[in-house]
Amino acid sequence: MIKTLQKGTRNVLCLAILATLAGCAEHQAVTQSDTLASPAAVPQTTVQEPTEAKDLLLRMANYLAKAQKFTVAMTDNYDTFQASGQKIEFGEKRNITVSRPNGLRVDLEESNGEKHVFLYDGKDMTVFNPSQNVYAQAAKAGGIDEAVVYLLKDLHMRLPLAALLLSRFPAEIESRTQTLDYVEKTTIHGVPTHHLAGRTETVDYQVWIPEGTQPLPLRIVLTYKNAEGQPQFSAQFSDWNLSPTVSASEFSFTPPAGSRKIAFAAQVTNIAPTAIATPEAIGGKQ
Amino acid sequence: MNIKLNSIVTAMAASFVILAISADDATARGFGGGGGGGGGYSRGGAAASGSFSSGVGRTAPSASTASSRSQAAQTASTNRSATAQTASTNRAATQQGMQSTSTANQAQRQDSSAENQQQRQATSSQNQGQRQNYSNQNVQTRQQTAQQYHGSYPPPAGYYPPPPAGYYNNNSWDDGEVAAVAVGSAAIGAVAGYAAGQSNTSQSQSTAPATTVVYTAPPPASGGLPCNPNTSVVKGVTYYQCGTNWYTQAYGNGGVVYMPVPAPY
Repeated sequence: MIKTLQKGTRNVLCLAILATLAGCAEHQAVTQSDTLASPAAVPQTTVQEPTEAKDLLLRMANYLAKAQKFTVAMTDNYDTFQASGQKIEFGEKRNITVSRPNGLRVDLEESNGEKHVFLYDGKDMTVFNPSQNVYAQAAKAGGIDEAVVYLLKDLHMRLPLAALLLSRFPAEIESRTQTLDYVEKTTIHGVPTHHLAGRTETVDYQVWIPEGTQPLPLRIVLTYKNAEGQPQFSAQFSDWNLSPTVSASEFSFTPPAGSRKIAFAAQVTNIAPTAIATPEAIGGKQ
Repeated sequence: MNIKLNSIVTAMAASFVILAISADDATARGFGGGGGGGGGYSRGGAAASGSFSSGVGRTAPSASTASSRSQAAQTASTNRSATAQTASTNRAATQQGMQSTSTANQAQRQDSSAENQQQRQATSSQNQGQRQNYSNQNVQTRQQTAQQYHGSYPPPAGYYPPPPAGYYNNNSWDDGEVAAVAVGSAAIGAVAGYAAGQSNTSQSQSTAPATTVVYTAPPPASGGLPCNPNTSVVKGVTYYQCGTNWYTQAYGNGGVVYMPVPAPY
């Protein structure tokens, strides 16, 4: 009887110990999971994640479009094809500051060390090359959306992933996307993300969007499927900050001492030799 | 003993490092390098734009495309016509010759006929070759122009609903290909005709955008220009003169470039 009781007690104790160990293990697992989810400051609150690829994409696009201010670092690489047929990859880094509706600043450093600064303050857009101390400037009222489109479409300048900066980005990406698929759930630097793949008429794209309440893109890859060799452009985003401290002076341009104003290349044809000298003729200011 | 062994190992490792560096240098310097044929590597191309759309592969013709095609077609047509006339003349001449030598024997006639046939075949082959060349040139011209096409294009039909009405209801505002500007050398821009429209917003202040075709400069003699230029400043704008050509600096999508301009005075 005693033996039986002792045996029963022993069993109960063993079970209790096992249960405690299991509980510890479970607690440890939860803690580890929390740790995995936390590096990108993704909030810990439970959210209802969309399950459809289109919903995930548009949630990201709407979240970005509605962000009134943000800063982000973007590192990108892209393929180029040389006359010899050789494929060469270049890279660059950008620090982007957005303050809707009128403030946009992009500090660019190319892989060869060359730097450029793009500024827009709601009235003028300026591109400045510090190493040559030259800048081009054009007037454009209306806000970031108008300025970005004007910069690319009319001035033929370059601003990769410019669509992400627009307040109408959701409409842009939706209208261009012909097909969209959910590839997989994966992790980037420990952050659980949704990997989506979309196709437009001319570009195939992939985007990685983190789980959680801040669905800001972590990585985007574009494939130019109609171009020779199907070159790719890939960008990695880091240091998203949706509540940065920015001042108006960050977006306005004050020509440094000794700097020289030049025209945008797309405007040179429009400028008669006698008119090119007038800064106002190309919408700028001295 | 150990110290000696360590010294030997260290020396061998250092030798390997030096050899590896030398090999890298040899690779970099000894095999020609320079993808751009002496002008450095180009940073341009479709992927450099980083855009969600691309003008590459679009088929909508621009006025300049049509003009180019028309000119090329006219040239091809003219050449084909001229060649055909030559062939006809040759045949007529041969026929006259045959008539004037009516006393010649059949063998001679057969030889002559065979020669004529060979000539006609040769001329025909030449014509075909020329037509093929011109056809290839036309295709190349069309492809090149299509790659430079920056204009608007109807949005793709997809299962997504059309975008909300906005003043920018097109998907090609960011599809410009980045011009090929060689790394390590400045570029000289040439300006070509541009048929694609500017942004279709009433708020746009732009007047007449132009396609900028930037090509790799000849080996730079002075800061990317093809000579050591005379520099003039006219009304605040710096001009660079190389012979009868004038250039000014401008900001393009590949950076600061030199572009040809009319003489400022």
